[in-house]
Amino acid sequence: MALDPSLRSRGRDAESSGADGAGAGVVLGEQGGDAWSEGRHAPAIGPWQLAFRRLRRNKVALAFLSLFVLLVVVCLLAPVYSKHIAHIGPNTNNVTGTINLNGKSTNVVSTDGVPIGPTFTSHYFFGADTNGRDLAVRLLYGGRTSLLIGGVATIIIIFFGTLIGLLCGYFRGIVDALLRPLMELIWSFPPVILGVAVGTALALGGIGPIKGNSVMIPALIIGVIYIPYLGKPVRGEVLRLREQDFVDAARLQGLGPWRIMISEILPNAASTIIVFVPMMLAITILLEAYLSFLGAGVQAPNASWGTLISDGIQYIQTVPTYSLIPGAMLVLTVLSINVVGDGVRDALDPRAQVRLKT
Amino acid sequence: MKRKTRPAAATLLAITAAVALAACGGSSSSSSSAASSGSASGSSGGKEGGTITIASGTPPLSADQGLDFTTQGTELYSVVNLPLLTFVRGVQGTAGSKIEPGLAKAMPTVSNGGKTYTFQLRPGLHYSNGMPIKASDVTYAVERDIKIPWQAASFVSAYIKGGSDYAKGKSKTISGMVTNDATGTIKINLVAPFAPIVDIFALAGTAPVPSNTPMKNLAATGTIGDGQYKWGPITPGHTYTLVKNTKFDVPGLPKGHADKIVYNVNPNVLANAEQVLNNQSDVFDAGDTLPSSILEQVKTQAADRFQAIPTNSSYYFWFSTQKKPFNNLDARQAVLAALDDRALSRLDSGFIAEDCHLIPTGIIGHSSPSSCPFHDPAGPPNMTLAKSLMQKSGMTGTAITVYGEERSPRRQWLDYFTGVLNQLGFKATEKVVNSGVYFTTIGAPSLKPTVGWGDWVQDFPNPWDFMQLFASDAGSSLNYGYVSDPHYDQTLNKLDQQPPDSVAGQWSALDQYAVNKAYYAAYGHQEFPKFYSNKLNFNSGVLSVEYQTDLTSLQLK
Repeated sequence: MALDPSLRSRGRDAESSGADGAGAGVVLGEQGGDAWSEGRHAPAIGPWQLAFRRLRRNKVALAFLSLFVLLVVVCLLAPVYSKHIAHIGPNTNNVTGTINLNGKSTNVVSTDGVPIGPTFTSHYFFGADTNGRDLAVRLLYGGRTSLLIGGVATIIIIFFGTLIGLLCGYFRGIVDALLRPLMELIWSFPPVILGVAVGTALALGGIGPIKGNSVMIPALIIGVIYIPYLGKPVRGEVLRLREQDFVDAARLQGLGPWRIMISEILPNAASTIIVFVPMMLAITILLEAYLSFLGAGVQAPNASWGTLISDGIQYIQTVPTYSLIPGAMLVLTVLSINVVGDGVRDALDPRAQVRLKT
Repeated sequence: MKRKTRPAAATLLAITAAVALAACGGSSSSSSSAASSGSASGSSGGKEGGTITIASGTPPLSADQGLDFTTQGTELYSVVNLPLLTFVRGVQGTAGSKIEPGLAKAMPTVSNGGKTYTFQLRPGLHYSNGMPIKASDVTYAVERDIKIPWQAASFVSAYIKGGSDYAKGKSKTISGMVTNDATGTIKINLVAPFAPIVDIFALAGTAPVPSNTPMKNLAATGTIGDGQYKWGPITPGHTYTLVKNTKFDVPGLPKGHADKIVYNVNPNVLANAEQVLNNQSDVFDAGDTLPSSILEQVKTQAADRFQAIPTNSSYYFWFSTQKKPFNNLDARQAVLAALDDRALSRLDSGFIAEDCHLIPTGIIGHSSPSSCPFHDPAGPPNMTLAKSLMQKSGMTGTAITVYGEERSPRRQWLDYFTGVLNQLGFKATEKVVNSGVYFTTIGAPSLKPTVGWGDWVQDFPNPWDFMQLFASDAGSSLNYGYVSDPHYDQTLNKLDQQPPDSVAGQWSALDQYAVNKAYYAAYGHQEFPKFYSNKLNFNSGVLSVEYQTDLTSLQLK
């Protein structure tokens, strides 16, 4: 039996009101706003549309969403900048090269090995690294790498975290007894230490068809490390939902466990999962930076914001921009994701907004 | 053409300042609390005693001289394990390569057409724990080298009679080593005349150890030795402590000044340099490169306690001649033509003197960089030639993994070299290996890597020390590319029987032959930094071509 999601959700709200009382009342209040007090009926719109409407009202979240989109677009344009503006690839060494600055030929890297600082021209806008590579180009390519790893890791977390949470929460028993300790085991390790240990080991030999220097290695490691961070809350939510009347009703209609999980429980747990998406994206990008900074993430010569910060550390006194600029990009990205994430949470969790209003 | 030297004015200033500081001598008020434990001023204006700290970026592979053969390790255990002969201490530059008797009374007598060397132990010698040193302990040490095995085990197993049988387990002892504990005589019979054997018995790896020393790597304790210092607490990979051996008394050999030397390992070489600049550590380990980011600051703020000293070292990339694509001569030569030695020098803060030859400047048989066949090492690479050779090789598009070490500037060299290979048309990817295990990783017989980075610092002043790296019998722990060339081997075996100066031209020709064959892409010889805190007497400290920092020369002001 497939229902229109909005209808099913409305049904859920109605049922929830019987189950825990407050849920439906708050949702209706949010739907109606002032209309509720005026005694008018709430407009017939679904919770997703409501959430979107609330998100649109959150100007701060929208501003940071725009910033995040801008950062992503800029990073995606890295090949264009590299080819048509800087005229140098991200991994192209140019140790003995020279550039023309103010009519004067200048070494990209001095004979004593000191790289050129920011020129604020099309060539070496943010300066060069020790190998004479254009930092601006590497910054953009590094951003692509960081975002790619964060994105892939988040997809791994969402897919496997949701799957494991659903299985543990719905079946309980032996499935829960097997999978839950596994999650607890991963959970019990500090992410950075676990990431460094596994990252260092896999960087040498790779895993299966993935080579050791592939950016998919850190993505995989980070994804696996954070699966319990979503799996455990989803499990808790599923444990709660499986006891609800609408699940019992589905069982009475003869639906099998997989059908119930996918068509009944998952849509109702979706808001919990969605709230976790930006949070996971932010922490995966940060963990990638930690690991790459420590040499256990992205492998040379590929760049990420973490490797760029690491490379620039030794020049922090003489050329601070070398590590500060990738650091700033990282901060802006994570900050924008977090603010957008807060906005999404507020939009999907009307109770939180009510609390804010009172 | 060598890298330009530092300005004469700066050198003059450094000398003047150093002389002035030395004149202040023991009255210096800047001594640390550790220094305050020192006794009266020494003859050179410094104090005896106290604690000296060394900041190093890389640990030795082991504190056990029976396994380790790294520059970091040699620096440390060469003051713990004194062999039969020793390189003169307290002398900077190539003069420090002179060999003098250590535990032996005198230089060995050579007989049997250069195939027998006889040593005589000095009387009354003792280990640091008080046990007497026996002649048979030397045999035991060499057997231990073969069994553990020592990273340079082939130095002894291949040349001493019975060495290879012992290595294969066919005999219980090395038949070519005949000792008499009562008289202290040690007779070493060789398979064939081999001139460098004198140098090998000046290496700490051949120093005697008590016969109850376990036949296993003692990484966490080191061995009981007979040198100026003995091992204190060791935390492998992190801290190595040397404590003065008060029982050491070998006439003519220095006893060392400091009571204690602490060797601290921190992979952050910049932090190490900053510590020495700020006088929080006393010695910047000579085996590390001063990062370019701090070099200018060191030159201006610490001109009186910094000096770049030329050493006999060579830096190179090696190729597996057994595997595609570098089993192809054109492919190897293309790399040599495309390599910009100037770039590799800049990545090393300018401390590399560019050269395509393996035998360094201070060693007999060195060839002028002007004879480099593919391009002038001090000039730009010959990309036209490189590309045509590459096309001829038909190896374009071959996927290869390039091995390199993690610490700076080795990783930067790897980045650069990989870039060159990709520019030539290979599909090269990097494999960065932790510095502590790099050479054991690439030397593992199971790996057989295709191409990678390597270096060699003089063990003794004989061109054989460098050229044996590419001999087919050198083993995978030295000949990483499994080069096997009968002409090369035959020439090497012929030359190693002669005193080097009598066949200097032939050594030079062998190096040139190997360059033409592109068995290695050497790119230069390095100057090492002598950089101390202002607590040390800079003039008394010696950066030796043999031991790097000569620990017996370090002295607090």
